[in-house]
Amino acid sequence: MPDIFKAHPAPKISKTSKRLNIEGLEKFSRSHFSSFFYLPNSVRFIGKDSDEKIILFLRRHPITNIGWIIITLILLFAPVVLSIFPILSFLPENFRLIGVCIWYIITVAFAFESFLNWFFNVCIITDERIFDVDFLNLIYREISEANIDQVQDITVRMGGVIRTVFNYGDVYIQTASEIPRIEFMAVARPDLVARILRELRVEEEQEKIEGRTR
Amino acid sequence: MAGSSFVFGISVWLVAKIFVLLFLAMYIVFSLVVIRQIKLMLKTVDMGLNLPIRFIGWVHFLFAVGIFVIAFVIL
Repeated sequence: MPDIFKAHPAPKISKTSKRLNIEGLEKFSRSHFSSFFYLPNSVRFIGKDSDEKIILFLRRHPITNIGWIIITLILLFAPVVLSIFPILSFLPENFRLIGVCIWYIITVAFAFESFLNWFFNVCIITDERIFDVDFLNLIYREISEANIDQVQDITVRMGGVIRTVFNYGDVYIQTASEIPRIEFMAVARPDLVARILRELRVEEEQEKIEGRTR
Repeated sequence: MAGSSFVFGISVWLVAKIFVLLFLAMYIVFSLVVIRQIKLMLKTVDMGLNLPIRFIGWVHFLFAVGIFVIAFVIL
């Protein structure tokens, strides 16, 4: 019997086949230490879907590290400077040696913890969701998540001399999800981040209209 | 070890050594927590830099153990 109607399978539309219509995004650094990483291919995160694509990977601007770097340098040179003054001369030689070792190990721990705190507190924008990963202390982490279509309002806050000079600020995302507000603190190029989020939201709405939602 | 100072027949430097060793033992535990923390962080966000960061964590732990051993021997 001849087929009267034969349904063809719907063409598979890749949501991320088209890139964002924003010029100049490709020129940004693609280093692992970058604070503004557009389309990072090597990044994976917990709960990522196999067909989900990371659009933007953000962390605090590198200039925000200057505080702990200065403190680390002061701590590193402190024993040398203090050796001029005979403060610890009452201690035996072996205790002084161990004291200096303990001082340096604490300095290393402080620097390493500060680095990890910067390196792993990240914000991820995918084509479907927004993630804010915060490591609050040694063993406690907090992951805030919202779908792009739940984004209601985006506020960019920039102020102060340093933030204006180095072009970084806070992005507050009001959402309709369980977590009412997601905050990207001290991220580089906050205006561009807000623009990307707006474009993604528009694209998501377009996909809903066209019935392409996953 | 300088053993000239005694309080109630106990060497002050022996007490100091015990406190230093206790502190360093706690520090070893802390460095193990850091290794655990790195593992947790890398499980949450993997940026393709697992090896160097894990390596620094383990070097930090070995450094802590090394200082503990040195303190135990020379104090």
